[in-house]
This record gives sequence, structure tokens and C-alpha cells, in this order.
Amino acid sequence: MIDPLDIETIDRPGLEQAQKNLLPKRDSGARGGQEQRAFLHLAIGDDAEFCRIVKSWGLRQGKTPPVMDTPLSERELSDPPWSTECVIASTWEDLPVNLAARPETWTRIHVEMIERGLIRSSYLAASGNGESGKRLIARALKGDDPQPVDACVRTVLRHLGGVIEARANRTAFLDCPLARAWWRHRYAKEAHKCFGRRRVEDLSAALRPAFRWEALVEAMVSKLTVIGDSAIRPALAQCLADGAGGTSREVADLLGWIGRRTTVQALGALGPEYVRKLIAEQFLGSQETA
Amino acid sequence: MLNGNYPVLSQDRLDYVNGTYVTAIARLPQGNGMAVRHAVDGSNLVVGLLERGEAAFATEVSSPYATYRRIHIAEPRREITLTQEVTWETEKIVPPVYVRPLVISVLDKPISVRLNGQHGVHDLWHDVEVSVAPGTILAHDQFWRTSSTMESLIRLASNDELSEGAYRVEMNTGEGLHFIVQMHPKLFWWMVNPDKTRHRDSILTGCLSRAFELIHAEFGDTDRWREFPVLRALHRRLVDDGLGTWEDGNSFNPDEVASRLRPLSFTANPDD
Repeated sequence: MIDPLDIETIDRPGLEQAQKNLLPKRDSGARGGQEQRAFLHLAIGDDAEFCRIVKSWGLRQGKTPPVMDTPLSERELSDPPWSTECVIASTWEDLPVNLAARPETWTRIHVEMIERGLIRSSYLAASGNGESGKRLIARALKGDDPQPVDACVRTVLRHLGGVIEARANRTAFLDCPLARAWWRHRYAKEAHKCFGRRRVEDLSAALRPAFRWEALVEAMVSKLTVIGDSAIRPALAQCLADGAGGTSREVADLLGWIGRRTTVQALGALGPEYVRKLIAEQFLGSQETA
Repeated sequence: MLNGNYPVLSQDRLDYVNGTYVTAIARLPQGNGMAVRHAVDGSNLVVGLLERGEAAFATEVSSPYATYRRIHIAEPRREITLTQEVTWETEKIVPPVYVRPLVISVLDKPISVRLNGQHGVHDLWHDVEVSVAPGTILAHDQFWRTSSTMESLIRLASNDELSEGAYRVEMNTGEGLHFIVQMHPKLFWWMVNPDKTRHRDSILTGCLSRAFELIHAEFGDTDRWREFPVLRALHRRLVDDGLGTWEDGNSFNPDEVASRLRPLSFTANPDD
């Protein structure tokens, strides 16, 4: 058991400044420049220098973050399957929410994993289509086109913990695969604990599709924060697992309906089972009465 | 089926002609939480439901960056004023935290009410039959930030790496959005305990002017600033006061706008 409030993280202002330096604005003329290329050289090098640079952005003192026992493959890191998700959930079981929501925490965790030889820094550049990070970085560095260089740097920073400037405080939830898996597992367990109707694995799988996850996070963090209510979110996860929200349009309709309903009725005060029945009645044709 | 067709007691609604819902928020002296003072008065439907124990005061707590939201319902006591204490665990929230006072129905089943003059509602509602379902929001206030907007926007911090008398303003999006003003330790302590408040106000005006410049540079050509509640509140204040905003392009004068907002509030933390 670790002290949940005492994990070392990267310093937030330092991280923001480093990201600003590494991701110059479109009209700056600095994209694809020396600073970005030097960073990619470090990432492809798969050695301690990459970690040293990231740590030089500043550290908020604390205990060394815990890491898992066995190495992760590039594919496991890019899109953790269920088995890896369980490892992630158990390794950082004691990570408090206020740290798990922050890109500076996951950035420090990745650095620790690289230093321990559990992942390679080039993995962070891997794309979703199976092409290796090493190959993508090498190709970007070989050419003169600034776009792939900028894109590669952006991907590395997103996967490392998130890009604050682009997506503010949603970034860890959306852009960092490790953080995404951690939060997904947490929400799935929350729904399982409320209802016990489906396995955590099934609930997590229901939250996995990008169109569902992104809509859910966008709502909870910025656009429709009532979706994060302790009674509403588990009910929503359960109904997604039961077949609601099959398309992005259906998810938008579902979230919009909850949003409108909560302007007149405090669903959060009525408990998850009430909300689940209400959603099921509206979107799954259930005859159960809320 | 519940719909929005019923009167709500709120400052931004005209449904009620007899009654008010007034709230006050204060930090609890110890721990993480707020004391929320609720008071409903007048002769109206909300008062009637509260007095019969069919409605209760409640407070909604929201920390969007932690995806946390929870409604705390006060025990119904058949009273129309109440101070409710709500607390939360530090590790479960990411600042900023918002609270919204409410009055909600705590009925087991929906009831039907045909409105009349004794319910305190506007004439338009007379003879209208409404359904009051469990959880119906009968009265609400706005969402309050647990620290006031201007207080949380400017944060002073002591930094011994700066030259004597120097300060530097930096934007930080870590807790919503705020500006850390790094100050030489002597200047920091003078700001916290000034012998001349007008001089301090002038320095703060300079800090805010720089903060406006940073907002203008960072968000002037996009609407990403709308993601930060503190900037939405600040923008609303500037518009309400007839001042320019960072959306005005080159005609925005940060120094003039900052000087019009004097005196400013701030927070100070030597360990920031």
C-alpha cells in the first residue's frame, strides 16, 4: 500500500512550458524544426536521455510511482487489451483520482516505466493502425516535411500523458492510453458495484469504443458535467452494456436526453437503479418502471 | 411523464410572484467543504412542500476535472431555512469545485397539483395542472465556485530566484485556470501585509493587465477560453461592465480594462 497523496509527478507549469516549446503554433514557422527533431531523436533512441529530458521539465516531489512487474509490448501500450487493463488497474489501484486526472502524473509514470525497461520511449509514437513508433519517427526524421515531424511529437506527448494546450484537462482521459484504461476500468467497476448485472470486463468493453468514450469524457469534463454524477454515470455504463448507444448519434441522443431531463429532475438524488430504469425505458424499450 | 412544465423558484425565472429562494455559501472552517445556507420565504408551493416534508434542501457538488458530481440531500425537517454542511474528500476532486443549492421533491410517487393563487405563482400558471415527480427541482440557485472568481484568478507566490522588487506573471491551467504571480520574497510579504494598499492595488493592476495580455495571446483567436469557467465568469463581468474583452482583437486594451477592475482580490501562498 502506497501513500496515495505522495507520488512524484512532473511539475505542471514545467510540463506546459515544455509542450509549448515542442509544439509551436502553425504560423510560427518552427514546426518540423530543430527542437522537435531533437526530441524525436531522443524518443527513438530508447535510452535514459529521453527520461532525463522529461524529468528536467521539473518534478513535484513525492514517492517513486509504482510500476508493473512485466514489460508491455508496443501494442499493449497503445491500446491495452482487457488483460493489460487489469494489470494497469491493479498496479495503480491506490492512485487517487486527483492525480489520475492529470497529465503530469501519467507522464511521470511513463518515465518510470521506460527507466525500468518495461516499455521503450519509441512506443509512444506508435499509431493506431499497427505501425511501430520507431518506424514512424524514422520516416518523419528522414524527410523534409515538417508535418509528420510535428505529428510524431504530438503523438509522443499525447501518449506520454496528454497535451494540455490542445485538450486542457480532458487530455489524460482521451489521449493517454494508460490513463484511458485506468479510468475505463474505474467506471466499469463502479457500474458493476452498483448493479452486479454484468462482469466488469463486459462493462469496460461497452465503454471502449472511441465514439462512446470520447462523448462520455467530453460530457463529464466540459459540456454536460451532470453525466459524471455518481448515480447517472454507472446507470449509463450499464445501459451501454445492455445495448443502448450503438452509434455516435445514438450516444449523443442519449446524453442529450439525460441533460434535458436533469434540468428539471435531480436524477442524481434518486439513485443509480432509478436512473438505469429510466434510461432503459427510454432507450432499450424496457417495461421496468423507474 | 415528467416534463419541464412547472414553476421553478429561481432568480432567473418569473414563475413565482410570492416568494424568494436566497442562499449563501461559506467555506467550512476546517476540512474540505462548504456551509450552504438555504432560505425560502413567501406563501407558495415550495414552502408548502417543505413544510409537509415533501421537499428538501439539497446541494449539488461538481468537480468536472475529476468527473465527480454528487447531490447531497439534507434531512427534511419541515423547515424553510437550513444551513447544510457538505464535505468532500480532497483526493476525489480536482479544483475548481462548484456547488449549486437546490430544493427538490422527496416524494415517493408523483403527485398532481392544480395551481392557483395560493401557490404564489404568476397568473399564467393559474388553473394549470402540474406533475411533481420524485427529484423534481422546485427551486435552484446558480452554480457557485467554492472560491470567488477574482480571488482565484490571481495567486501570489514567493520566489527567491527573482531579483528584489521583481515579479513575473504566469498562466496555469492546472486548477481550472489561474495566474501565478511569482514575486521576490520581500515583495511577496509586503503584498500580503502592505503599508499602503493603493500601492498594492497598482501592482495588482499591473499583474491583471499582464494576465489579460496572456489570455489575449493564448485565446484571442479561438473560443477555447470558454472551456474555463473562470474565464467565462470574467468575460461575463467585462461585458456586463461595458468593458472590452480579449475577443476584440487589436482594440483590446488590457491595461485600461485591468485598471477599471480595481480593487482586485487575490490569494497568496508562500509555497506555491
